Amino acid sequence: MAEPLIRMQNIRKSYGRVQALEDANFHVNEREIVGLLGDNGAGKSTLIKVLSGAVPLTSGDIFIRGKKVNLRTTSDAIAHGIETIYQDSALVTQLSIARNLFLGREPIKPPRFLNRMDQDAMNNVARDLLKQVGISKNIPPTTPIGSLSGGERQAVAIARAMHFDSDLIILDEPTNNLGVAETQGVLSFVRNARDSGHSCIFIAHNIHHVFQVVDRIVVMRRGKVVADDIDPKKTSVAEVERIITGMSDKEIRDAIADGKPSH
Amino acid sequence: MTRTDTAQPLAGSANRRPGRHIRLPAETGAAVGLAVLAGLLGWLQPSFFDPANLSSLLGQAALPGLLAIGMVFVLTMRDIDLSAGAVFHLAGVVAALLMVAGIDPWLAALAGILLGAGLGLINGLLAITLRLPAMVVTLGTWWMIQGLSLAAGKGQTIAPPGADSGFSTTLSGKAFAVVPAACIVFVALALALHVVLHRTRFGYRVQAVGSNRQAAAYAGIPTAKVRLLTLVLMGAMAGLAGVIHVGANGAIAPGDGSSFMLLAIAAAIIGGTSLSGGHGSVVGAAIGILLVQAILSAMSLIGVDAAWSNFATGALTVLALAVDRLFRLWRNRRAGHGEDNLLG
Repeated sequence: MAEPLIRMQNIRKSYGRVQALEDANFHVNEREIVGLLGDNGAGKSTLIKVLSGAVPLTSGDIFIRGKKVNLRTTSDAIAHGIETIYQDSALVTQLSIARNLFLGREPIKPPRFLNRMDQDAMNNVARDLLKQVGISKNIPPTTPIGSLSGGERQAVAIARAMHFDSDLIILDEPTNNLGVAETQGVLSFVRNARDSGHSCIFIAHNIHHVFQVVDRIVVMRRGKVVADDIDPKKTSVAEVERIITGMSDKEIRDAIADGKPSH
Repeated sequence: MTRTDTAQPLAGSANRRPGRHIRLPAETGAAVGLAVLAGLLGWLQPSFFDPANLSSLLGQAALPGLLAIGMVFVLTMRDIDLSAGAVFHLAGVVAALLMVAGIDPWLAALAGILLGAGLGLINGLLAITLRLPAMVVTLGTWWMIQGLSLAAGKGQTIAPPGADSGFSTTLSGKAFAVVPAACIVFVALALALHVVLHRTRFGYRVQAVGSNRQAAAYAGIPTAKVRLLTLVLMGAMAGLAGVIHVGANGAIAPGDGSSFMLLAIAAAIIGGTSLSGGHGSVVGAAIGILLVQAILSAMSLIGVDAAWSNFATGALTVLALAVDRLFRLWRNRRAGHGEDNLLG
């Protein structure tokens, strides 16, 4: 079997006496959308923060295409092609669309020691991306992000990850607070990202949104991955909810093996 | 461009009509205020435009103005440096003492600027390692640095020898017999640092960190380094102002620059720099400090008791804050969405 894009092995993370992750094992294959589910405090956010370099792991190993990596900072993760889009902290609302697209990776005009940003290059790329993501044509790339709708902001954040050719895009609650039409727009955008060669981890409290877009579902409970191969086409929403809220291991195996039709 | 090839219309993204928004620069209010005030003062008191008065006004504005430039960067990053006035004074005292000890004045001045930058570095390191807002850290270092200043200068005025040295004659000189040397340095640095804030990667990152520190960190911006550099810049500007003060006046007394920190903050806010971070204007701060000094100068010309000058500066700052706040509320309400956490 081919080596997965990302493999996290025996990940432990403790905050003092609190064990947030306990020997968690998790993987994402190439061109795959994985739905990561779990109740509040299950360890989803911590697992994602470890993978995105936002918090250091206590022990365990992370492999990218079979090669062990050390993700100590967010810059490390970004350099390894892992882009995380946090619900409220993906974009800087006071800055323009163009500047947000290049946040942390601003192009510099020569001579480099003057540290001048290449604003024209940023605006041109932003203009193209805005057209591609289907955001209304009349918005100039110099518009502050704060004047875009929630769905448009998610689209800009995903477009940024795609533009910089990230292998893995982690989406933390991307459909939160979005209307029906905007949610569908974001979900189709996630599918589009997968179809154009990116892998995604999709975290959402709304299981129905997860079922609409993911290839595989992983459930976490009390810092552990308790089910990592749930096929959304063969498992019902109700069963996944039962797994999240606490079925025994045997019950989980039976539920997945039953292969009941989804929703 | 990479693998993003497919156009995927985003549902819920309605086509907008081209907006007719007129976005006035942040410094507009201060510029209009200065123009109106200057016109009014010139009409009421023609001696306001006397070269001697203008020269004095420019000279008084330049040094706190240098601090205001640094403060714009710090405020834009959603921090505040309360120690800037004390750094100004200690840098001046140390430079003056080195000159008294026979060190070349230019070298002593360089030492003063480096000392300022070093104190900024200490502020930054404390804020980062203790994970504290710079305001809390600099509240402590302000008293410490002030204590050092008094101890180093023994509470006395320090007047280095060599008033006819190149250092003193250069800094106490005036271009076209009106514009003080300090003012030329101030204007040159204001223009240069305006470009730095709005055109360079460093300036852009200062704005990004001030607007949303978490998002900036998640995007891979080294937020600690940006904070550190900003506080070093603030310290260096305060140090530079301190040594220019020694050069221009030939001495530094215990109370000199005691109001500079508040003047710098007031000028930055009046000039359109937001206390909520993410946006600043160096040119606005330069106009802001001229406005504050023009008001102080006018009060003096009209014969108002000097005790009221602090009240006037404070009232102007409160007015600028109120206008900024109301303008943002109005803009957000008009837009129908956006951030409403203005001082968070």
